[in-house]
Amino acid sequence: MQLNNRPYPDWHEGLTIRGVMEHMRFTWPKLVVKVNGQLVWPEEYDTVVLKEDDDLQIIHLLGGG
Amino acid sequence: MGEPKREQDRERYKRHFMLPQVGEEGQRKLEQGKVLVVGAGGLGSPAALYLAAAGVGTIGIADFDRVDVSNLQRQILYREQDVGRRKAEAAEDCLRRRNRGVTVRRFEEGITPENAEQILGEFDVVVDATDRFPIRYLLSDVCRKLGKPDVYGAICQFAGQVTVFAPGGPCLRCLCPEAPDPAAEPDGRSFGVLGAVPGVVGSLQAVEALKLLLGVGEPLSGRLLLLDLLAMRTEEVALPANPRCRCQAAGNSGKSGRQAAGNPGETYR
Repeated sequence: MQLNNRPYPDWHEGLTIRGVMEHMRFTWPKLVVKVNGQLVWPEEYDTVVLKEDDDLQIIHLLGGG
Repeated sequence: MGEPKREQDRERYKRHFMLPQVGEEGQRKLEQGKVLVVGAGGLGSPAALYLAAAGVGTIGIADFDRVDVSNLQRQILYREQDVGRRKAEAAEDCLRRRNRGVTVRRFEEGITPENAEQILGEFDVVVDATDRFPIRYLLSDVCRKLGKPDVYGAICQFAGQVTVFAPGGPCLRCLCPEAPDPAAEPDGRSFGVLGAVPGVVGSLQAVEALKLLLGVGEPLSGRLLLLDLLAMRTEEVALPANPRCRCQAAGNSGKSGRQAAGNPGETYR
């Protein structure tokens, strides 16, 4: 599995988007998440299960000015 | 002075008249256009300057802050002698020096949940050049309620993000439903930034605002532009409206009387 264009070494059966966020300690609350280019809404982070060949993108929404 | 304004404008905006997308008719649209720039800092400086230079008739500047010496590294509205002055006032002087044909309206109390609807209602386009999420949510919510486009720009270090929240496309809440606890959020001022980075992002916001006034091109609605200026790469992420977002339940023009975010009495930039 790829995370932000890099291999993600800790993929396992049943891994969810929330699982990746927790493992990576992505605690920043404003994220844009895409799996294979498809946007995933925050309500689905717990339920979307990642496949071994999935391409996951997690983008922090910036707030600075 | 001598020659009539129309003749002066012909020379002044010659390069606009040469563009089929602007022309004399477009220039009139800009002249009649009203853009509110919320936050007169790193993003708001280039945005407001380009809007004034382009001949946008009315520019609102909402900022309650004063110019600090550490602002001069990137906030190109201000000069050394402006340090200590109210930003909105110094910004007005700068914009009027740039183009005396522009009317500048100052909102020195900033935008608050109490005044947002009334102030935003007086403008055609809102440029979100703020540096904190609570005010960003407030602007997105009120723009959605009023059916106005919100040109979002944000930076951190060498990175930038730009998008337009417009009717028909997503709003900020579509992406991230709730504004987080401000205490849990890193301060917008606690990171470094290369001065030219907000210059790029604020200029892009000006381009989007001008396109919206002119009604030309493809607005950056439903798309998030990501800029990594250290690697000098850009990427675009498609952002559909979230069908479960409140803005969709409100029919996307949001005439449901939904309340704006934020706590009464809280002052935002």
